[in-house]
Formats: sequence, structure tokens, C-alpha cells
Amino acid sequence: MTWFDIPTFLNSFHIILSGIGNTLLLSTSAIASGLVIGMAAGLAGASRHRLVSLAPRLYVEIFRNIPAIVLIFWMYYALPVLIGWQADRFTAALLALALYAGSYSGEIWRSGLMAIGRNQHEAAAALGFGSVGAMRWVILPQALRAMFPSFVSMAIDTTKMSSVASVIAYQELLYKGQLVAVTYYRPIEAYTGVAVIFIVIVGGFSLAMEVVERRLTRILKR
Amino acid sequence: MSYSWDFTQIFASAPIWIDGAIGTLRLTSTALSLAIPLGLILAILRISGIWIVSRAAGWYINIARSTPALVLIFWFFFALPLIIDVQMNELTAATLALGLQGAAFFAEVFRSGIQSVHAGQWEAGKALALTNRQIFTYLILPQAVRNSLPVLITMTIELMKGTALAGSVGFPELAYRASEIANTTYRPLEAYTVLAIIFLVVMAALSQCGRMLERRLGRGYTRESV
Repeated sequence: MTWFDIPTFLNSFHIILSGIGNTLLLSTSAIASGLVIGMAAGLAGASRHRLVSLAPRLYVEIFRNIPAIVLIFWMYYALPVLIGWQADRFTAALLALALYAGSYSGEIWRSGLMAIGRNQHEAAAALGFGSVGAMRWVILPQALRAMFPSFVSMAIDTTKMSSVASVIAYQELLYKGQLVAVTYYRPIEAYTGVAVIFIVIVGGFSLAMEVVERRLTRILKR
Repeated sequence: MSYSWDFTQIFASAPIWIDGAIGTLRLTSTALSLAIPLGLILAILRISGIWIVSRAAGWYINIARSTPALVLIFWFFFALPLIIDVQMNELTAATLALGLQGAAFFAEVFRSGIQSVHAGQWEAGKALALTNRQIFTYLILPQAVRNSLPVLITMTIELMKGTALAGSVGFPELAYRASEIANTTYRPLEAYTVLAIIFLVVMAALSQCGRMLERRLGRGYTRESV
């Protein structure tokens, strides 16, 4: 039976740590892009005009049903054949994850916006707000409060999904873990370390978001 | 090769696609048969009155949900065999990884299903002089499972999507076979597009079933009214 070998673990840890930066880079970029894409998709999806809301609904259907790994494969191997330009590993992974995050985000935006009753829109118009002003001062503050937990879930899910980028050899955390496992013949330390780091990242992020949510509720309730 | 789509070789390798689909179904069924019972047990433990049991279950659920599925698959395939000195084949490793993580997700689904059953049911059971265990098994649990069915289907779809990751340790499921076809036919665009379409069609069909089930269940519930 092999046990956890501390010295080797400490020697190779810097390799694994260097992967964290890439993981966070990919995750935050995907989450940010996803939020923006989702806002566009959600706003269009909440529209009363069927034609306008059709495209976002299709988009969400497509990207929620295809696994992230299939998307990443497609972006890295299939897309270059189609448009004659090879995306580098980061861009391919980002494209796939941003579209993936965007579809979840789009659903959150859509249901969040539709949950705000029509009377709020009418009240804002009655008070003389233009559509942008109504969004900024009346609709969004109410909607964001409700949507925030769902966005946190989406962010956590996207961060976990970033580990899939390792299959196209993007040098993030899991890929570095594989490297260590293969180089030092120590898969236990490598993969357990990677798992623990993910747990710490996700757990820490959840805790931080709980604090943010409390502050946000206090601000938005004003 | 750019815009001249050529699906002939893809269709010619239909047996390989079917083999991949069978692999996906195999892994999904084995992982589900682990995840659902274990999830139910976990949910019961989680709402247990004994503090340490509830806390331990909570930790398990938290950890299993915070770790990416791919990391777990790698861990079970490469690390576990060394720890417990057992040879692990790809199916077992992937089943354990997806099943144990799925159990955590299903536990949360069952937990909210159980807690969504009207408190009046408990009181009715007490009034009929049933023991707590009897009330739970014969009164609460059937209703809880029925309430959770739509979300259970959603989670099953998520699990099925997760099986695509098992290809990275060499388990011959759809994505693995698609990569194989892409490499042997030198047609990655057609191969991966077909792969995406297959997943899209299957998952969308399952989602639709889930939605129809939800509508049917919803109507039935109000008809029978508590």
C-alpha cells in the first residue's frame, strides 16, 4: 500500500500551484463573458415578441444540453477546420466555457427579469423613467437581489468546469496535477492535492459570496 | 477540407458510434444505480437528529459537490488503486467517481423533496399511532420521491453529461469514440459536430420528458389534494 509521501508532495507543490493562476484566469474570464452574454440572452429571452426571444431560447437549449468537454473539443479541433483559424488552447477553452456559462447565465437573467411584475415597469414609466433609467433604478436592483445566489452557483460550476480544459492540454490546475503524477510517479499526492485546492477555492468563494450577498441585500434593500 | 462537408465516412463508422452510445448508457446506468440509493441514504442522514451524523453527511455533500468531476475520475482511476491496492478498470473508476458525486447532488434533491412534504402528513401519521419509522417509510417517503421526480430527471441529465468526461481515462463512451473517429477519418469537424448533435438531441428529448412529467405530476397533485 502506498501512503501519502509528504517530502515529494512539498517538492512538487510549486508545479501544481502554478496551475492555479491559469485556472483562475480561465474561470474569471469565462464567468465575466458568460454574465455579459447571459444579460443579452436574458433581455432578449424575456421579450414578449416571439421572434426576438426565439434565438436566445435556442442558444440556451443547445448549450445546456451539450457537455462542456464536447464543446471544448469542438472549439479546439473542429472550429479551425471550419474557419481556417486555429484558436490557441486558452481561447478555445474560453470560447467553449463562455458560451456554456452564458447559457446558464441567460436562463438566470431571463427568469430573474420575468419575475419582476409588469406593474414595476408601468410604475417606473409613470414616474418618468426612460427604459434605461427604469432598468437601472427600478427593475435591476430588485432582480439582482433574487438572481445573486444563482449567479454564485453558475460561477462555482464554471470554475469546476475549467478543469475540463486540461483535456486539450491547457496548463491549468488539473493538467499540472497530471504532470506531477506522471513525472514523480505519485498520483495520490498529485490528485488529492488538486482536489483539495479545488475544494478550498470553491469553499472560499462560497463563503466570500455569502458575505457579499449579505452586504448586497443591505444595500439594495435601501 | 474547409467547407466541403463530408459525412460519408462518419456514417460509415456507425457501428463505432453505436458502441460509444452503449458505453455512455452503461456508465450512466451504473453510476445512477449507485448515486440514487446512496443519495437517498445521505439525505436521510443529513436530516437526522443526531448532530454528528448530520454534520458528517453535510461535509460529504459539500466536498463531493465542490470537486470537479474530472478530478474525481482521475483520482479514482489513478490514486485509489494505489491506496487500497486494487486493480481498477475504467468503468469502475468512472462509476465510483460519478456515482459518489452524483449521490451528493441527489441527496440535496431528496432532502428538499422530503422537506417539501406537508408537515400535516407527520401529524396525521402520529394521529394514526404510527411509529416515526413507519410514518417516514410509508407516508413521507413516497410523496417526497414523487415531488422530487422532475429535479431527479434534471440531475440524471447532468450525470449523463458527466459521463463524457470518462473518455479521458480511456472508458469507451461517445466522446472517446468520436475522438477516435475524428483521428482515423481526419474529419474532426464532421465527427465532433455529429457528437454535439447526438448529445443535443438525446438531452433535449430527456429534458422534454422531464418537463412533461412535471406537468403531469403537478396536475395530479392538485386533483388529489392533500
